[in-house]
Amino acid sequence: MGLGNYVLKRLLLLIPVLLGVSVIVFLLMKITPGDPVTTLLPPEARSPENIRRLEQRLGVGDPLYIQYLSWLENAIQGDLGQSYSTREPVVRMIAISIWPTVQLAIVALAVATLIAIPMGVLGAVYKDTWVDHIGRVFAFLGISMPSFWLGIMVILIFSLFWRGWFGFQLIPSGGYAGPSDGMVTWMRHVLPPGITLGVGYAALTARLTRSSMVEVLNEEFVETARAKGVKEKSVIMIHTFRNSLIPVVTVMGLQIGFLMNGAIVVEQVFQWPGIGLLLYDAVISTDIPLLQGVVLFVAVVFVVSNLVVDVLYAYLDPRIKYE
Amino acid sequence: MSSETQIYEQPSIGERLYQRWDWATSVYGRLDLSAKVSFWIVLALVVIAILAPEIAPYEPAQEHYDRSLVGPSLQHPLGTDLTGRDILSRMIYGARISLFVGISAVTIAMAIGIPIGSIAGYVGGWTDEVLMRAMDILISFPALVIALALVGTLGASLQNVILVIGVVYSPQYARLIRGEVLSVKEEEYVEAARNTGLSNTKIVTKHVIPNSMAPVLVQATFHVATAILFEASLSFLGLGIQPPTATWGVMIADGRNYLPSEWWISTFPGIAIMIVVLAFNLLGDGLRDEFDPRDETQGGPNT
Repeated sequence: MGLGNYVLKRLLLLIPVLLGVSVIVFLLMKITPGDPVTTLLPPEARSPENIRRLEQRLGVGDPLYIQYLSWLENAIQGDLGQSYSTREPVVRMIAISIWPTVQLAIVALAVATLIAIPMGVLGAVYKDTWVDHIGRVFAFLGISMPSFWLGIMVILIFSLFWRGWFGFQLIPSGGYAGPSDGMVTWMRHVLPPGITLGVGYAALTARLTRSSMVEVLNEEFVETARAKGVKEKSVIMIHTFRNSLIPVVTVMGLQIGFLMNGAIVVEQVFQWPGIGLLLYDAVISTDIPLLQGVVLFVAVVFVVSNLVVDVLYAYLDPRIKYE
Repeated sequence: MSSETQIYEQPSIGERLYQRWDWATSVYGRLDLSAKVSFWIVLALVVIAILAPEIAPYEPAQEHYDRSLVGPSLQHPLGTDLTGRDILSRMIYGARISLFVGISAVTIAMAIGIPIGSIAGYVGGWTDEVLMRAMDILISFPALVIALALVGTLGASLQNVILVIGVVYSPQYARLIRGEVLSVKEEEYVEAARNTGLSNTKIVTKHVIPNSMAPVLVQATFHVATAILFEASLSFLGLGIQPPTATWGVMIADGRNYLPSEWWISTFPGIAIMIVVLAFNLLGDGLRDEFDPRDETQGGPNT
């Protein structure tokens, strides 16, 4: 099977998965206690006339599958309804939350690339020495630390304690600033949550880089290169590192879910107005349309990005069989 | 005839227990140092959780209004919170919740995932396709996202937290056991069992599943670690186990209101989570080296 057919097959398999996702997201509304009509209408507007009109618009009396189909039709056309709490279109609320979360993801990715990949390479090259052991301890510490707690500790030390020690705050204790607020202000705001998010991500990446490097180091072509008298340094950098990057890049891509989980708690701790905080607010205020919209959005991004990464992997590594 | 049955006689319960013990100690003996230390930390956690009422210096909910927000001291080694409750005692009781949630959530995940994966792998065909697509759908949501949505809509409680974590983790056991079943299915002993006329259910439960348990055990160890982190995250967000129950996540959230002067309320429960999760992860890593030294990318804490 060629790459084209493989992509086509994966795209077709995507359809039932996305439909399943949409059914689960739709049913979220149905398992929520409470009546959407009373939630949507303020008490003074609850005239029989208004209630009837709203029920008709929401399709309350229709069978479940009709309700689902009309909800799906709207969702496909980009209409995810209106937030209960802000009355704004859900799509717009999601749209403005994307960029803040992307900023955090970029910082987390940078931390992982700059720290974790060298750490993983060193761990593989000096396998079973103290270098490897220290790397392993750091990686497992990073994975085991609750990121919300790490965030609180970062704020405690660099914002609150810092003021007591030096009379000023090194970082703010939370809140948002974008690139347009000036470089320094932006960095002071974006780096603390970004790095907090990046620690666990970096730890995972370091472990994966190491195991991937170890695997490639044991392969025949590396032995061949050594036997041909290629310098050890170039064996590691050119022959091994490049080849082991393929799975690393893939897995980093597949960890978007991991980043999303982390973003929920980290954004809450730092009051960073991204997708994670939006989801948290939706859950806390039982804002069902917003909740459905964010969950659907995140799931679609997750599924599609996994697909893109898989295809990229198949494209980069000719040894992969398109099963 | 009697001499023949003599030869095939089943070992007694005592002998079997001894064999198990022998096996367990030999596995332990081959673990690396960090996994050995982790094993003892996990064991200590179990003992602390069981004996919580005996070893906690105070009742976890006992309020001492005259000792509000006292820092670490001899009387209260890890300080007190606003109503004068002892942090150390609350952490000891919190260990119970963490361990209980971790183990029961993973048990539920296995109870859902293992039958689904075994059936999918053993029966194959359309059954396989449908079951595994359903699992794919569950995996299509980042775990905390769907957990948050479900707990948010079903209501936050201990039972719901355990159930939700169990459901969210179940596809990984289904995938794992399906792969094992596929590889074990064609083995000779399964073939032999089939020829003796054993029913499919018997073959799967008596032969296939027991022979696939090693990777499941490794995965379960990692999952207890992530389930503990998961529960702490949900409780921290106010969507897990509700106050006044002492859980580590709730304590960290509560302590945020008293920073920076009363830093101990948030700090110590976080350290406890870190140590316990680290211990389960390192133990899982050691067990993986023991049972499956080849594959380091499978079943890691990233899942």
